[in-house]
Amino acid sequence: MARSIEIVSGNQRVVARLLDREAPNVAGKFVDAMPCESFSVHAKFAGEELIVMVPFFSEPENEIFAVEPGDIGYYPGRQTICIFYGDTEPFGEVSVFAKVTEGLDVLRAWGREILERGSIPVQMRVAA
Amino acid sequence: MTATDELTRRIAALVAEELAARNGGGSSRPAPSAGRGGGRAATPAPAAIDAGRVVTVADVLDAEKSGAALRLPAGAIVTMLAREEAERLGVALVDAGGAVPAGSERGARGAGGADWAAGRPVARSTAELIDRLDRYTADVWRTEPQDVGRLRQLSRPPMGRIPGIFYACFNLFWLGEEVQTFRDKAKAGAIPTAVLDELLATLCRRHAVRLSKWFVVDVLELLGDVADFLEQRGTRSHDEYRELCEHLMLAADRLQSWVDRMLPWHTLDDRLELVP
Repeated sequence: MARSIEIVSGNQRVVARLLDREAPNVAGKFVDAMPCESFSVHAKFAGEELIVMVPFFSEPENEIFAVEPGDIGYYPGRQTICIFYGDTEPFGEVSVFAKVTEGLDVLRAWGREILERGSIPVQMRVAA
Repeated sequence: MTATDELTRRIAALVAEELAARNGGGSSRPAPSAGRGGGRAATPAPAAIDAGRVVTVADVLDAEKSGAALRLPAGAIVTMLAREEAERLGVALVDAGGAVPAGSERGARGAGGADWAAGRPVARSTAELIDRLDRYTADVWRTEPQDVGRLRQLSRPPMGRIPGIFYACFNLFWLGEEVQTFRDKAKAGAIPTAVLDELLATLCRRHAVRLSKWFVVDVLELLGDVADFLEQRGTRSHDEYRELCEHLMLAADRLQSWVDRMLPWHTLDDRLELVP
Protein backbone atom coordinates (compact mmCIF):
# COMPACT_ATOMS: atom_id res chain seq x y z
CA MET A 1 0.00 0.00 0.00
CA ALA A 2 1.36 3.40 -0.97
CA ARG A 3 2.52 5.59 1.89
CA SER A 4 1.15 9.10 2.30
CA ILE A 5 2.24 12.23 4.08
CA GLU A 6 0.33 15.18 5.49
CA ILE A 7 1.28 18.82 5.43
CA VAL A 8 -0.70 20.90 7.89
CA SER A 9 -0.94 24.65 8.54
CA GLY A 10 -3.55 25.98 10.93
CA ASN A 11 -6.64 23.86 10.49
CA GLN A 12 -5.98 23.00 6.85
CA ARG A 13 -4.35 19.87 5.55
CA VAL A 14 -2.77 18.62 2.34
CA VAL A 15 -2.21 14.92 1.65
CA ALA A 16 0.37 13.54 -0.74
CA ARG A 17 1.28 10.04 -1.88
CA LEU A 18 4.95 9.14 -1.61
CA LEU A 19 6.58 7.94 -4.83
CA ASP A 20 8.47 5.13 -3.15
CA ARG A 21 9.21 3.39 -6.42
CA GLU A 22 10.42 6.42 -8.38
CA ALA A 23 12.34 8.13 -5.56
CA PRO A 24 12.93 5.56 -2.81
CA ASN A 25 15.90 7.31 -1.18
CA VAL A 26 14.37 10.77 -0.96
CA ALA A 27 11.00 9.36 0.12
CA GLY A 28 12.72 7.21 2.74
CA LYS A 29 14.77 10.08 4.15
CA PHE A 30 11.69 12.28 4.22
CA VAL A 31 9.78 9.69 6.25
CA ASP A 32 12.75 9.27 8.60
CA ALA A 33 12.71 13.03 9.28
CA MET A 34 9.02 13.06 10.21
CA PRO A 35 7.27 14.51 12.11
CA CYS A 36 8.77 17.90 11.36
CA GLU A 37 7.80 21.49 12.06
CA SER A 38 9.08 24.18 9.79
CA PHE A 39 7.82 27.19 7.86
CA SER A 40 6.96 27.77 4.25
CA VAL A 41 7.98 30.67 2.10
CA HIS A 42 7.11 31.29 -1.54
CA ALA A 43 9.28 30.71 -4.59
CA LYS A 44 10.67 33.95 -5.91
CA PHE A 45 11.34 33.10 -9.54
CA ALA A 46 9.69 29.76 -10.30
CA GLY A 47 6.00 30.60 -10.26
CA GLU A 48 3.38 29.02 -8.04
CA GLU A 49 5.57 27.02 -5.69
CA LEU A 50 5.86 26.77 -1.91
CA ILE A 51 9.23 26.06 -0.32
CA VAL A 52 9.88 24.32 3.01
CA MET A 53 13.33 23.45 4.38
CA VAL A 54 13.69 19.90 5.68
CA PRO A 55 16.38 18.56 8.03
CA PHE A 56 18.14 16.10 5.74
CA PHE A 57 20.38 15.90 2.73
CA SER A 58 19.75 13.40 -0.03
CA GLU A 59 21.22 12.64 -3.41
CA PRO A 60 18.97 13.68 -6.30
CA GLU A 61 16.81 11.06 -7.97
CA ASN A 62 13.79 11.06 -10.26
CA GLU A 63 14.83 14.51 -11.37
CA ILE A 64 12.16 16.32 -13.35
CA PHE A 65 12.24 19.73 -14.94
CA ALA A 66 8.69 20.05 -16.28
CA VAL A 67 6.83 19.60 -13.00
CA GLU A 68 3.04 19.69 -12.68
CA PRO A 69 0.72 21.17 -10.05
CA GLY A 70 0.67 18.77 -7.12
CA ASP A 71 4.23 17.53 -7.61
CA ILE A 72 6.45 17.71 -4.53
CA GLY A 73 10.16 17.73 -5.20
CA TYR A 74 13.33 17.77 -3.12
CA TYR A 75 16.10 20.24 -3.95
CA PRO A 76 19.45 19.16 -2.50
CA GLY A 77 21.09 22.54 -3.07
CA ARG A 78 19.01 24.14 -0.33
CA GLN A 79 17.66 21.02 1.45
CA THR A 80 14.14 22.13 0.69
CA ILE A 81 10.99 20.57 -0.60
CA CYS A 82 9.28 22.38 -3.44
CA ILE A 83 5.50 22.10 -3.52
CA PHE A 84 4.12 23.07 -6.92
CA TYR A 85 0.52 24.25 -6.85
CA GLY A 86 -0.07 26.01 -10.18
CA ASP A 87 1.70 27.58 -13.10
CA THR A 88 5.42 27.18 -12.77
CA GLU A 89 8.44 28.44 -14.59
CA PRO A 90 10.98 25.85 -13.45
CA PHE A 91 14.26 27.16 -12.14
CA GLY A 92 15.90 23.76 -12.27
CA GLU A 93 15.33 20.05 -11.89
CA VAL A 94 13.96 18.73 -8.62
CA SER A 95 13.73 15.18 -7.27
CA VAL A 96 10.00 14.54 -7.41
CA PHE A 97 9.18 12.18 -4.53
CA ALA A 98 5.49 12.80 -3.77
CA LYS A 99 2.26 13.77 -5.48
CA VAL A 100 -0.60 15.70 -3.87
CA THR A 101 -3.81 13.67 -3.67
CA GLU A 102 -5.90 16.00 -1.48
CA GLY A 103 -5.79 19.74 -0.96
CA LEU A 104 -4.47 21.35 -4.12
CA ASP A 105 -6.97 24.15 -3.44
CA VAL A 106 -5.51 24.48 0.06
CA LEU A 107 -2.05 24.92 -1.43
CA ARG A 108 -3.36 27.73 -3.62
CA ALA A 109 -4.81 29.44 -0.55
CA TRP A 110 -1.52 29.02 1.31
CA GLY A 111 0.29 30.47 -1.69
CA ARG A 112 -1.90 33.57 -1.60
CA GLU A 113 -1.48 33.86 2.16
CA ILE A 114 2.30 33.65 1.97
CA LEU A 115 2.39 36.24 -0.80
CA GLU A 116 0.50 38.55 1.56
CA ARG A 117 2.24 37.69 4.85
CA GLY A 118 5.69 36.41 3.92
CA SER A 119 5.60 32.93 5.46
CA ILE A 120 3.37 30.44 7.26
CA PRO A 121 4.19 27.71 9.81
CA VAL A 122 3.75 24.13 8.62
CA GLN A 123 3.81 20.70 10.22
CA MET A 124 4.63 17.60 8.19
CA ARG A 125 4.06 13.99 9.18
CA VAL A 126 3.46 10.53 7.79
CA ALA A 127 -0.26 9.95 7.32
CA ALA A 128 -1.81 7.35 9.60
CA MET B 1 20.76 58.66 18.06
CA THR B 2 17.88 56.21 18.30
CA ALA B 3 17.80 53.29 20.70
CA THR B 4 18.33 50.95 17.76
CA ASP B 5 21.36 52.92 16.60
CA GLU B 6 22.77 52.82 20.09
CA LEU B 7 22.25 49.08 20.39
CA THR B 8 23.85 48.51 17.00
CA ARG B 9 26.80 50.68 17.94
CA ARG B 10 27.22 48.77 21.17
CA ILE B 11 27.00 45.35 19.52
CA ALA B 12 29.40 46.41 16.78
CA ALA B 13 31.93 47.66 19.29
CA LEU B 14 31.70 44.56 21.45
CA VAL B 15 32.03 42.10 18.60
CA ALA B 16 34.86 44.05 16.97
CA GLU B 17 36.68 44.14 20.28
CA GLU B 18 36.28 40.43 20.83
CA LEU B 19 37.27 39.47 17.31
CA ALA B 20 40.28 41.77 17.40
CA ALA B 21 41.40 40.23 20.65
CA ARG B 22 41.10 36.74 19.24
CA ASN B 23 42.71 37.55 15.93
CA GLY B 24 45.60 39.13 17.73
CA GLY B 25 46.15 36.01 19.78
CA GLY B 26 44.77 37.64 22.87
CA SER B 27 41.38 37.31 24.38
CA SER B 28 39.07 39.24 26.58
CA ARG B 29 38.71 36.03 28.50
CA PRO B 30 40.85 35.52 31.54
CA ALA B 31 44.17 33.91 30.72
CA PRO B 32 44.23 30.17 31.40
CA SER B 33 45.60 29.37 34.80
CA ALA B 34 49.20 28.27 34.96
CA GLY B 35 49.90 24.66 35.69
CA ARG B 36 46.91 23.26 33.88
CA GLY B 37 46.34 19.86 35.34
CA GLY B 38 49.42 19.63 37.54
CA GLY B 39 49.30 21.67 40.72
CA ARG B 40 45.69 22.66 40.22
CA ALA B 41 44.53 20.75 43.25
CA ALA B 42 46.45 23.10 45.52
CA THR B 43 44.78 26.19 44.05
CA PRO B 44 41.32 27.02 45.34
CA ALA B 45 38.83 27.36 42.51
CA PRO B 46 37.52 30.90 42.02
CA ALA B 47 33.82 31.37 42.70
CA ALA B 48 33.35 33.02 39.33
CA ILE B 49 35.49 34.16 36.47
CA ASP B 50 34.66 37.15 34.31
CA ALA B 51 33.62 36.60 30.71
CA GLY B 52 34.21 38.94 27.80
CA ARG B 53 31.32 40.74 26.14
CA VAL B 54 30.80 38.07 23.51
CA VAL B 55 30.49 34.81 25.40
CA THR B 56 31.25 31.64 23.48
CA VAL B 57 31.66 27.98 24.34
CA ALA B 58 35.34 28.66 24.98
CA ASP B 59 34.40 30.89 27.91
CA VAL B 60 32.12 28.23 29.34
CA LEU B 61 34.87 25.65 29.04
CA ASP B 62 37.33 27.98 30.77
CA ALA B 63 34.91 28.34 33.64
CA GLU B 64 34.23 24.64 33.77
CA LYS B 65 37.94 23.91 33.77
CA SER B 66 38.39 26.29 36.68
CA GLY B 67 35.44 24.85 38.52
CA ALA B 68 33.84 28.28 38.60
CA ALA B 69 30.73 30.09 37.55
CA LEU B 70 30.94 32.51 34.64
CA ARG B 71 30.14 36.13 35.40
CA LEU B 72 28.66 38.01 32.45
CA PRO B 73 29.21 41.72 31.94
CA ALA B 74 26.24 43.96 31.36
CA GLY B 75 24.94 43.64 27.81
CA ALA B 76 26.83 40.42 27.14
CA ILE B 77 26.05 38.48 23.98
CA VAL B 78 25.93 34.79 24.86
CA THR B 79 25.93 32.40 21.93
CA MET B 80 23.28 29.72 21.91
CA LEU B 81 25.94 27.05 21.92
CA ALA B 82 27.55 28.64 24.96
CA ARG B 83 24.25 28.59 26.85
CA GLU B 84 23.68 24.99 25.87
CA GLU B 85 27.19 23.97 26.89
CA ALA B 86 26.85 25.80 30.21
CA GLU B 87 23.65 23.91 30.91
CA ARG B 88 25.19 20.61 29.87
CA LEU B 89 28.30 21.10 32.02
CA GLY B 90 26.49 22.73 34.91
CA VAL B 91 28.37 26.02 34.65
CA ALA B 92 26.33 28.84 36.16
CA LEU B 93 26.00 32.02 34.12
CA VAL B 94 25.80 34.92 36.52
CA ASP B 95 24.77 38.42 35.57
CA ALA B 96 27.07 41.26 36.56
CA GLY B 97 26.53 42.04 40.18
CA GLY B 98 24.59 38.83 40.70
CA ALA B 99 25.40 36.33 43.39
CA VAL B 100 27.12 33.11 42.43
CA PRO B 101 24.69 30.25 43.06
CA ALA B 102 25.65 27.99 45.90
CA GLY B 103 27.28 24.82 44.70
CA SER B 104 28.52 26.27 41.42
CA GLU B 105 32.13 26.01 42.56
CA ARG B 106 33.05 22.55 41.47
CA GLY B 107 36.16 20.53 41.33
CA ALA B 108 38.50 21.51 38.54
CA ARG B 109 38.48 19.17 35.59
CA GLY B 110 41.76 17.53 34.81
CA ALA B 111 43.30 17.68 31.39
CA GLY B 112 41.98 14.18 30.73
CA GLY B 113 43.24 14.11 27.18
CA ALA B 114 41.08 17.04 26.13
CA ASP B 115 42.71 19.65 23.93
CA TRP B 116 42.07 22.81 25.89
CA ALA B 117 44.92 24.82 24.44
CA ALA B 118 42.73 27.02 22.27
CA GLY B 119 39.92 27.34 24.77
CA ARG B 120 37.20 25.39 23.03
CA PRO B 121 38.55 21.94 22.29
CA VAL B 122 39.02 20.91 18.72
CA ALA B 123 36.60 18.14 17.85
CA ARG B 124 38.33 14.79 18.18
CA SER B 125 36.54 13.23 15.26
CA THR B 126 34.33 14.07 12.34
CA ALA B 127 31.46 12.48 14.23
CA GLU B 128 31.99 14.79 17.21
CA LEU B 129 32.11 17.82 14.93
CA ILE B 130 28.95 16.71 13.13
CA ASP B 131 27.28 16.34 16.52
CA ARG B 132 28.08 19.99 17.29
CA LEU B 133 26.67 21.08 13.94
CA ASP B 134 23.54 19.01 14.48
CA ARG B 135 22.99 20.47 17.93
CA TYR B 136 23.02 23.93 16.43
CA THR B 137 20.66 22.90 13.64
CA ALA B 138 18.27 21.38 16.17
CA ASP B 139 18.48 24.50 18.35
CA VAL B 140 17.49 26.84 15.54
CA TRP B 141 15.12 24.59 13.65
CA ARG B 142 11.83 25.64 15.19
CA THR B 143 12.52 29.02 16.70
CA GLU B 144 14.17 32.06 15.25
CA PRO B 145 17.91 32.01 16.05
CA GLN B 146 19.25 34.75 18.27
CA ASP B 147 21.66 35.58 15.44
CA VAL B 148 18.59 36.56 13.43
CA GLY B 149 17.14 38.47 16.37
CA ARG B 150 20.31 40.56 16.47
CA LEU B 151 20.20 41.00 12.72
CA ARG B 152 16.71 42.46 13.04
CA GLN B 153 18.21 45.22 15.20
CA LEU B 154 21.24 45.82 13.04
CA SER B 155 21.48 49.15 11.29
CA ARG B 156 24.60 50.50 9.65
CA PRO B 157 25.16 53.91 8.13
CA PRO B 158 24.41 55.22 5.64
CA MET B 159 21.97 52.66 4.20
CA GLY B 160 20.34 51.50 7.44
CA ARG B 161 18.81 48.12 8.09
CA ILE B 162 17.50 46.21 5.07
CA PRO B 163 20.61 46.30 2.83
CA GLY B 164 22.67 44.60 5.52
CA ILE B 165 20.09 41.87 5.89
CA PHE B 166 20.15 41.26 2.13
CA TYR B 167 23.90 40.93 2.28
CA ALA B 168 23.72 38.58 5.25
CA CYS B 169 21.14 36.51 3.38
CA PHE B 170 23.30 36.16 0.29
CA ASN B 171 26.54 35.69 2.21
CA LEU B 172 24.94 32.73 3.97
CA PHE B 173 23.39 31.50 0.72
CA TRP B 174 26.77 31.33 -0.99
CA LEU B 175 28.38 29.68 2.00
CA GLY B 176 25.97 26.79 1.52
CA GLU B 177 26.41 26.72 -2.24
CA GLU B 178 30.20 26.70 -2.01
CA VAL B 179 30.27 24.00 0.66
CA GLN B 180 28.11 21.91 -1.64
CA THR B 181 30.65 22.34 -4.43
CA PHE B 182 33.33 20.82 -2.21
CA ARG B 183 30.91 18.14 -1.08
CA ASP B 184 30.36 17.15 -4.70
CA LYS B 185 34.12 17.06 -5.29
CA ALA B 186 34.50 14.70 -2.34
CA LYS B 187 31.79 12.50 -3.78
CA ALA B 188 33.69 12.36 -7.07
CA GLY B 189 36.75 11.27 -5.08
CA ALA B 190 39.39 12.67 -7.42
CA ILE B 191 40.90 15.28 -5.09
CA PRO B 192 42.81 14.05 -2.00
CA THR B 193 41.00 14.69 1.27
CA ALA B 194 43.98 16.65 2.63
CA VAL B 195 43.52 19.16 -0.18
CA LEU B 196 39.77 19.28 0.30
CA ASP B 197 40.28 19.77 4.05
CA GLU B 198 42.53 22.76 3.42
CA LEU B 199 40.14 24.27 0.90
CA LEU B 200 37.12 23.93 3.18
CA ALA B 201 39.02 25.32 6.17
CA THR B 202 40.05 28.32 4.08
CA LEU B 203 36.50 28.79 2.85
CA CYS B 204 35.12 28.67 6.40
CA ARG B 205 37.64 31.24 7.62
CA ARG B 206 36.92 33.55 4.68
CA HIS B 207 33.18 33.32 5.19
CA ALA B 208 33.60 33.87 8.92
CA VAL B 209 35.34 37.17 8.23
CA ARG B 210 32.49 38.23 6.00
CA LEU B 211 29.73 36.97 8.29
CA SER B 212 31.29 38.71 11.28
CA LYS B 213 30.01 41.93 9.69
CA TRP B 214 26.52 40.70 10.50
CA PHE B 215 27.32 39.46 14.02
CA VAL B 216 25.98 35.96 13.46
CA VAL B 217 28.19 34.78 16.30
CA ASP B 218 26.77 31.26 16.63
CA VAL B 219 27.62 30.42 13.04
CA LEU B 220 31.01 32.10 13.39
CA GLU B 221 31.69 29.76 16.25
CA LEU B 222 30.72 26.74 14.18
CA LEU B 223 32.80 27.85 11.21
CA GLY B 224 35.76 28.22 13.56
CA ASP B 225 35.14 24.72 14.88
CA VAL B 226 35.09 23.28 11.37
CA ALA B 227 38.22 25.14 10.28
CA ASP B 228 40.11 24.20 13.46
CA PHE B 229 39.19 20.56 13.01
CA LEU B 230 40.18 20.45 9.36
CA GLU B 231 43.48 22.21 10.02
CA GLN B 232 44.47 20.22 13.09
CA ARG B 233 42.96 16.80 12.53
CA GLY B 234 41.26 16.45 9.16
CA THR B 235 38.81 14.00 7.69
CA ARG B 236 39.84 10.41 7.10
CA SER B 237 37.96 9.66 3.91
CA HIS B 238 35.96 11.21 1.14
CA ASP B 239 32.79 9.82 2.72
CA GLU B 240 33.58 11.50 6.04
CA TYR B 241 34.29 14.77 4.27
CA ARG B 242 31.06 14.56 2.28
CA GLU B 243 29.06 13.87 5.41
CA LEU B 244 30.67 16.80 7.22
CA CYS B 245 29.79 19.11 4.34
CA GLU B 246 26.18 17.96 4.35
CA HIS B 247 25.76 18.70 8.06
CA LEU B 248 27.53 22.06 7.74
CA MET B 249 25.18 22.93 4.89
CA LEU B 250 22.15 22.05 7.00
CA ALA B 251 23.35 24.27 9.85
CA ALA B 252 24.27 27.27 7.70
CA ASP B 253 21.29 26.91 5.40
CA ARG B 254 18.87 26.75 8.31
CA LEU B 255 20.14 30.10 9.53
CA GLN B 256 19.97 31.38 5.94
CA SER B 257 16.35 30.23 5.68
CA TRP B 258 15.45 32.30 8.76
CA VAL B 259 17.18 35.36 7.34
CA ASP B 260 15.45 34.84 3.98
CA ARG B 261 12.14 34.44 5.81
CA MET B 262 12.26 37.88 7.39
CA LEU B 263 12.92 39.72 4.15
CA PRO B 264 9.77 41.24 2.58
CA TRP B 265 10.37 39.71 -0.84
CA HIS B 266 6.66 39.71 -1.58
CA THR B 267 6.39 43.49 -1.33
CA LEU B 268 9.59 44.63 -3.01
CA ASP B 269 8.34 45.12 -6.54
CA ASP B 270 5.25 46.98 -5.40
CA ARG B 271 7.16 49.36 -3.15
CA LEU B 272 10.48 49.95 -4.83
CA GLU B 273 11.69 51.30 -8.13
CA LEU B 274 15.06 50.80 -9.73
CA VAL B 275 17.34 53.77 -9.98
CA PRO B 276 17.15 55.06 -13.57
